[in-house]
Amino acid sequence: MKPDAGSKPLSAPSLSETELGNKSSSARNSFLVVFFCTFIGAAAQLLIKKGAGQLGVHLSLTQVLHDPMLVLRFGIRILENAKLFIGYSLYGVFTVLMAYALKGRELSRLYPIIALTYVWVMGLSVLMLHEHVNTFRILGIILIVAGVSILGGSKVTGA
Amino acid sequence: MNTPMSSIILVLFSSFIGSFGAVYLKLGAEYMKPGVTGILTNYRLGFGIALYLFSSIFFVMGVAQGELTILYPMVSLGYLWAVVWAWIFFKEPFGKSKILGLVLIIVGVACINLGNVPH
Repeated sequence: MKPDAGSKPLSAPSLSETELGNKSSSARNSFLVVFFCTFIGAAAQLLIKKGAGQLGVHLSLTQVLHDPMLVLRFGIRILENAKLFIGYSLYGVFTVLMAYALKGRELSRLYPIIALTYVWVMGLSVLMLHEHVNTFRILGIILIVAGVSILGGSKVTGA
Repeated sequence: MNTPMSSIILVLFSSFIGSFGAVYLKLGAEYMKPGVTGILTNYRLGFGIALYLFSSIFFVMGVAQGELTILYPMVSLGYLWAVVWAWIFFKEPFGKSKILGLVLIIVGVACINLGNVPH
């Protein structure tokens, strides 16, 4: 990763000389942490999907809106399932790592990496859940990854 | 296996509720006091996390049936709500690139749904 300071203004103009010197290595570190996070996020998704299937409860939004207590009861079922519990815990790890990696850094450049989660989830669904993909699904994922990257890369003024 | 509409609706509903979680996390970050106690006593942050957990119940309900290759990409529509709430609540402007990004996401999600056919 080449630091190209010319293409974007430094987010914090008050950076000292040593902080500037460490900038490229810490940028690479957060890049790696976020990249690693996308795998954790995808693994968590897969565990949540597997655990959800094990619950054997099929509800629709209409049913839930008619009987809101169903949400509470379903929430308790979630806590009792090992796969869901581990999946949620991985999500907690994912969130903390992400917060660490993104702390005080420009988030926009890392969105294309974060969006890779959609690719890993599709790949893992095919490998582990034996789901099928078709042209529409692959095209959809490509469009979503491009969309998230462009959206995240857009300048936020006053943030 | 085909993904039922009820699952798709539940996942979309979950991402809608979750987007309010993001609003409260952002509010919490704006009113953040330093230190660990600052995080723990930040009720906006707490409410944001609670909303995320609440929304995840609907996500789990949704993915109990159907395919993850269809349902997981639906989560990306949450970005649509995020941009709308950022505009309404935080007066964040959106330019051409945000609109282009959102259009790509919406077309992508529509594409995924077109791919929701039995094989």
